[in-house]
Amino acid sequence: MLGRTDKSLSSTLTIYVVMGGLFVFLSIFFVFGNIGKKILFDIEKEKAELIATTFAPQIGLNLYLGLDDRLDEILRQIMTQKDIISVFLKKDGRVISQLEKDQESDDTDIFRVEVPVFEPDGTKRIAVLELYYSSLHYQQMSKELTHILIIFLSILALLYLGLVYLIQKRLVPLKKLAHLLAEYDVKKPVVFESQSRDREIKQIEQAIQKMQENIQAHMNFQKNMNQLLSERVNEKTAELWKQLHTDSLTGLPNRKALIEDLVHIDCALLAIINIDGFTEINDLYGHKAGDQILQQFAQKLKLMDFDKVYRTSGDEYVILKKGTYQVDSALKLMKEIRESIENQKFYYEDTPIDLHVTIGATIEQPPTIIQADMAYKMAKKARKPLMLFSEEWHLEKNFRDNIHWGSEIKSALSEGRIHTYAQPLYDLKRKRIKGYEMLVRLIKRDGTVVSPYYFLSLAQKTHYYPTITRLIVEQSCAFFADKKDLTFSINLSVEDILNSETVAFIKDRITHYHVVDRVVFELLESENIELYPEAEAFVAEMKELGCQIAIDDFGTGYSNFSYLVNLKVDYIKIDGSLIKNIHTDKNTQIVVETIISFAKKLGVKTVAEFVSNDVIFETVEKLGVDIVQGYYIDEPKPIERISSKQTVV
Amino acid sequence: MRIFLVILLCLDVVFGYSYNDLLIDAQSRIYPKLIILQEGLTKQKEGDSITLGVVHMAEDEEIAHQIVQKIEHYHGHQIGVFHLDVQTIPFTALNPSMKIDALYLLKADAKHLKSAVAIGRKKHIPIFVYDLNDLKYGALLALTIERSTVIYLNRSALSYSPRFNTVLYSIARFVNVGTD
Repeated sequence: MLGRTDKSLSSTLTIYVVMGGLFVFLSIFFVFGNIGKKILFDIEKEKAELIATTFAPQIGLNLYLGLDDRLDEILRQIMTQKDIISVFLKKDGRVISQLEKDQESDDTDIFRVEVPVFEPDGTKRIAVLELYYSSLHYQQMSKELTHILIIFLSILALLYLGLVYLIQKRLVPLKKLAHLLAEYDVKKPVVFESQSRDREIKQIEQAIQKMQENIQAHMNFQKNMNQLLSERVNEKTAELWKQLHTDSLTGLPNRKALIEDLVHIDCALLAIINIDGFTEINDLYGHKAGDQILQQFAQKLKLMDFDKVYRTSGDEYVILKKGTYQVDSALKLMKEIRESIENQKFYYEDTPIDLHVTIGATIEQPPTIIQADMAYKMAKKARKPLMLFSEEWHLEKNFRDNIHWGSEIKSALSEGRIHTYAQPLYDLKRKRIKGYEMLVRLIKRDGTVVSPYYFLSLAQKTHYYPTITRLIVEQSCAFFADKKDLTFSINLSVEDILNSETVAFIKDRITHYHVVDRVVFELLESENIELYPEAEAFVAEMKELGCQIAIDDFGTGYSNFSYLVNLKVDYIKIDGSLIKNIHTDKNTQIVVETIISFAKKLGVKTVAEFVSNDVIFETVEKLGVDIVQGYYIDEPKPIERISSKQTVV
Repeated sequence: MRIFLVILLCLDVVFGYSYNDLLIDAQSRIYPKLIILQEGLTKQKEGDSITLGVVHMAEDEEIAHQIVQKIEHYHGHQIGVFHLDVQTIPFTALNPSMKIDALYLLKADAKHLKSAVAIGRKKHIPIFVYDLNDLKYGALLALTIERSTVIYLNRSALSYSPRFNTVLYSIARFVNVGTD
């Protein structure tokens, strides 16, 4: 890019040459002029001195011989010299003879030459000869010299200008070359027409020509490379897009492809098909078998009459069938799909495997994965093979509630609003309060006490749950540490027992507060803890320490009595749903009576919950329940309001 | 008139030649100085004396003594670095064996002049004459007073005489008279 101060090479060279020339001319003029003038001056002076020294011996001899009358003659001879203006002969500082021409001259234009006059034998200085020599000749010569120099320098200047012109002329091809290069475009190669005679210019042109060819070759190569790269990138992009949108195992479009496809779909049946108990296939036959089954399953779905089939996760497939559906027609189609799948045989090697599926579907406009997923989860929860999404489920409210309670738990924990409550357990035989069950409550900022029903199940799905458990354990152990005659029950879920850190914390706290012989851990029957080896180990370890175990809400599940024996539980807490109507429902009485009877035979004490009035109290007492709990005894209270003296109702 | 002229001639013979005092004065001042213009004289005779013989006819003895006095008056007994000894020598007494460094020949007849010049040439010493015309007998230098004082140098005598300071040759007026 040319800057404002950039000048052309020819201009620069011209300036340099002109300036150099000017310097040389002036130098020549002044140096040669001055040297010439000095030489002329010296010549003139030497001439004067020569005249003086020529006549000095004669004068000396005449003076020596006393021929003073001849001195004037000699001086006259001296004066005959053209440029002598005056001559003085001085002896002992006194002028003894002198001659002068009648002409006016400026003192500055006169050379003065003084020559000593000796006796003939040269030993004694006897006089001084003084000549005044005109500089007119010198000045004329100087002028002539100046004229010669000016003429010489003028000729030289002309030659110099000619040289500058020649330089400019020889630089024309270079200027043209620079101009061509300044407008160089790779698409328009430079064509050299100058045919310069200069070798260097030719070499530059040849070099540029070669560079152009190289650039062109490189450009072509680059172009080909770019094209190739572009093709490769496109191929790779397509491959990556395919990988990104395709399930590698089955070759079906994946969840991402489904999401993108759904953007353009308004009316369709969207169904999630999940293989029931697929993990069992993996566990039983191995993952290789599982993969084969998944591939076969995918092939079966592809063969069915769907617009598109997707595999969205491990054993979950999604089918899409465009069109508008009514609930009946949708359910009919879902049923047909299920039957079609379940009627087919899948094989691992030669082993036939029957598959059962759960289908959740939506026919909303537009259909969404969330809707289908909700339907699937609802089906799973309800243990139904298929379910169609309904707007009436108010699932969005549940989601909002979950978000609300999640936030509430977080703030309550940070602000210390999770409190431990206690409800007494009344020992019917000893007629006194045996101990308390520890209950958790969330206190809202306005002071409202919230039951765990609203937040604990949600908390179990978050990382706050272990914190809540540890809070209850810590507060309970600390509170009952010095209440030696009271037991206290802490509810534990499977999540608590499976969390090794929580278990370690519990052991540490009960040991620290020396409450191992008074703490009772309540485990829910519905959580099937007998299926978890870790739970079994926990129970064994706690029993070993001296803790007691209670099975909560007994009678709601399958009430497998065998694990009561295996786990060596100490208490059975009969579910409140059996107790609250026991005084009116004979069947319930029979069930409770059976449980109590069985428990007594195993040596397990029974606890009746939800004892809310005297009738229930008397009924369960008559049935032989050991301990009662409920509002009839006392409602749950903050732990700090429990008094050790309050042991009798 | 003829008688007066004869008397004058007789007087001239009896009383010698007539001399110009002014010329004698000038020659007395200059001739000794010319002696020491000889080249190489300084080296040869430094510290020595220079003898100038004023050669005269018997009848000019008086004038010869006057010349000696004049020379001694002008120069004393010193000329340059040399002692100057000026002697009067009659032509008849002049002989080659005399220690003499320069001759100053007063007027005489041709015979005596030639004889003296011969002795001078033999001794290779400068020969001065009173009368310019006497250069024709082979003397080297003469001095006249014209518009100014003029030194004449006889070119034909140069080969017999010592060499002088070249400046002398530049101020002298050359004449070529006399034969070998």
